[in-house]
Amino acid sequence: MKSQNSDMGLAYLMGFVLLVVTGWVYWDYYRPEWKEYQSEFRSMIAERFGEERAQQIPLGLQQIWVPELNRVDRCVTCHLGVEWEGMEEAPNPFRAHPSGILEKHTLIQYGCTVCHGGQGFATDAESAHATSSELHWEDPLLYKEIGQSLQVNDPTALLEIKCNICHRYDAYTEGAEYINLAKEIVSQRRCQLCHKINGQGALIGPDLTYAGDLSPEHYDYTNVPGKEAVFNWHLVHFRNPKDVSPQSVMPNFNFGPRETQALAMLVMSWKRANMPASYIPPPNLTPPAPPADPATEPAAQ
Amino acid sequence: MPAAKTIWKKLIWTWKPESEFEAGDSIVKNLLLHWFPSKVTFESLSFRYSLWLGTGSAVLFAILTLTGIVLMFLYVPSVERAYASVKDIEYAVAFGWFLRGLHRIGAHLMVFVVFVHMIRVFLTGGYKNGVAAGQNRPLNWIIGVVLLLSTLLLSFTGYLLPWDQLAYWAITVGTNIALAAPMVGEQTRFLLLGGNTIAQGALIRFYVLHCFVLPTVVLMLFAWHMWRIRKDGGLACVDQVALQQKREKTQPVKSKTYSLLGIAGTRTVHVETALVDEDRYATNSSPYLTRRLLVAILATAVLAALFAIGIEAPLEEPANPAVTSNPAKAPWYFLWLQELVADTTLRFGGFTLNGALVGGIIVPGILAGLLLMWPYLDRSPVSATGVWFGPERLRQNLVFLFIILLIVILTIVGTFMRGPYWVLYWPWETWVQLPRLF
Repeated sequence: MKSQNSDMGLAYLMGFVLLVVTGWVYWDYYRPEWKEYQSEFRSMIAERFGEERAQQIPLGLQQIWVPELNRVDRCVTCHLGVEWEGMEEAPNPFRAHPSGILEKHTLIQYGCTVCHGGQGFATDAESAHATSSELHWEDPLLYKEIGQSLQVNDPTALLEIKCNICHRYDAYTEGAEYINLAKEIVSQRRCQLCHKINGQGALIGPDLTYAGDLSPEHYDYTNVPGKEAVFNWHLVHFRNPKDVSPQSVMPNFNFGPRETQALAMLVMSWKRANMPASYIPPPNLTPPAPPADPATEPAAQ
Repeated sequence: MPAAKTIWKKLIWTWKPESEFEAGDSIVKNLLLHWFPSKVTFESLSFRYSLWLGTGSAVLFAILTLTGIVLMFLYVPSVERAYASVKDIEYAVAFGWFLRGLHRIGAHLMVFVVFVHMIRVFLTGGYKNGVAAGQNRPLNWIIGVVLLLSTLLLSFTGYLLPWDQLAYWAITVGTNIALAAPMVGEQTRFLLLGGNTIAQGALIRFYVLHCFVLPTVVLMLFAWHMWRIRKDGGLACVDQVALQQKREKTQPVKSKTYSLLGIAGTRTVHVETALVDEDRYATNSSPYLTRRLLVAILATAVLAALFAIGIEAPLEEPANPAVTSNPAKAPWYFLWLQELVADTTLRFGGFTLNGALVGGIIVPGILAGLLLMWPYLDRSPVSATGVWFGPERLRQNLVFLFIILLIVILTIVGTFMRGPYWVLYWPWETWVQLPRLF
């Protein structure tokens, strides 16, 4: 029979391809992106603090599991320096977290993504930061990439949105300068004369209490230049409401870029907090001791 | 001989038989091979007749079973944990992404291969009885059609399990079509979902159907399917060989006569020497069939593995009943139906044509019914059995191909050309970007 030899040839060929595939899958398994970061971090620690301390660094996938928040954050697989003293000035992903805020929001109790956004499950940078619109993750890392794509005044301030999900009833939240500014504007400009906010106010304009929960399809983007995104809609809207919805009766307050970003962030933060009650702080109703002066206020780093 | 050695002998066989006897023995006495004939015709062995699609789908089923069993240790069928456990498989489990990718692509491939297998059997008239006694190929065709439907259901039930937007809305579309069935639609959907909405009840039902009920059904039907092939005297192309012999006027030789205790006067079974075993038509199954089987198994595994590496398994946002994904699409193998539903939903003034009834119930119902009955409606002569595009079956083959072509076109339109808001896009047009939060 003719085919007998070609059959064995085919079998060997397929077997070889299968072997290559197996080899490739193993190769892929032993060389994940995070291993490079881990070895980089080890050599950095060895260089700065000696080989002995480098030996203490845990190896392999790291995660913070917070059952109360139903979150698994694997960010610390690469961001190994989060709690290392002396790494405050190190380049990312190894930089230590500013320590003050971690005292009240411990890593074990809160994890990372509840404040920063991003995809905690993921173990590669692109999926974890989730800033690409190709990725199916509605909660991107609120950091530079997102801020730059939205051309906001201060990209790094965006994560204050997350603070206000729990701190919405605070009059003043330490560290959340943009949110504080926006809240000040809300009370100065008397937004509640037309809008219901936190359950109080009139209903001439839309109820904004849970405006942050509205899905992107709720907004009309026909008059919005640039990215079709809720945040962008708010930015353009606060610049001049009639630009976006010509029939709107909302007056134009002539807000600058700083104010529009602050207000857009505040509206986006008005979400239902799906948190255990123990995580919701009692509201801080006292304004700050020295009144915040927008001119000298440093941008959040 | 020690027992261990005996068992070992039942699992191995010789690749280089020294004699006809050894060649036959290695098949008949072997646990893994005994369901094959000891001799096989060249035509049955050839790639050009059967395309080895049945073997391919069986291999895919094996791959799916193996990967599926491992996934069962990792996946949690609860609304709270399902999505997260799939994310864990994707990101944290060793080789998890490959396992899931292989399982997913294996399922899609199996639907495709089983479908093409059916096309092959139709075009070759493989469902027709030939010349040998005791054949019932129409029955095996019906088993095959049920296997195809079971494969679709297996894939459909697996589609829900990741519990992401893609899964949730695909199953919503799929099960909503059942609603259009007159009288029983609502009850059928309720039974399938364990409620009126897709929630925990639906997830656990789909899970049990996917992991236990349907695989068992497929496995049993598969065994029956294989057994029937042997009972029908092998693939239909063997009957062409027998017909050829008849034309050459070699009369079958009566070799042995069995009768019950030698005294039964009613019916005796005549076993005729199967002349198709002649050397010019057939060869030993060991090693020719076993070798080619190896090629088919390896080729299927390679194809599935390469696809699994090349095509990333999607996982969208967690299932959200409040936000409909746009466009919401059924799994691709049902998209020709969804497309049909969309195209037959027509309004003439006050009168509305119910597309779901037409495209979801009537058309597929008629097609499935025709498929099941076709062997009994086909009146073509025996000579059209087991041959590609038999001239006596030209018209039915053309009509069949036309229907297949329509299904393929509708599937392609539904899969690749329907963008957000179910708008028709040409392949070179970019879909409208849907708004995002940031």
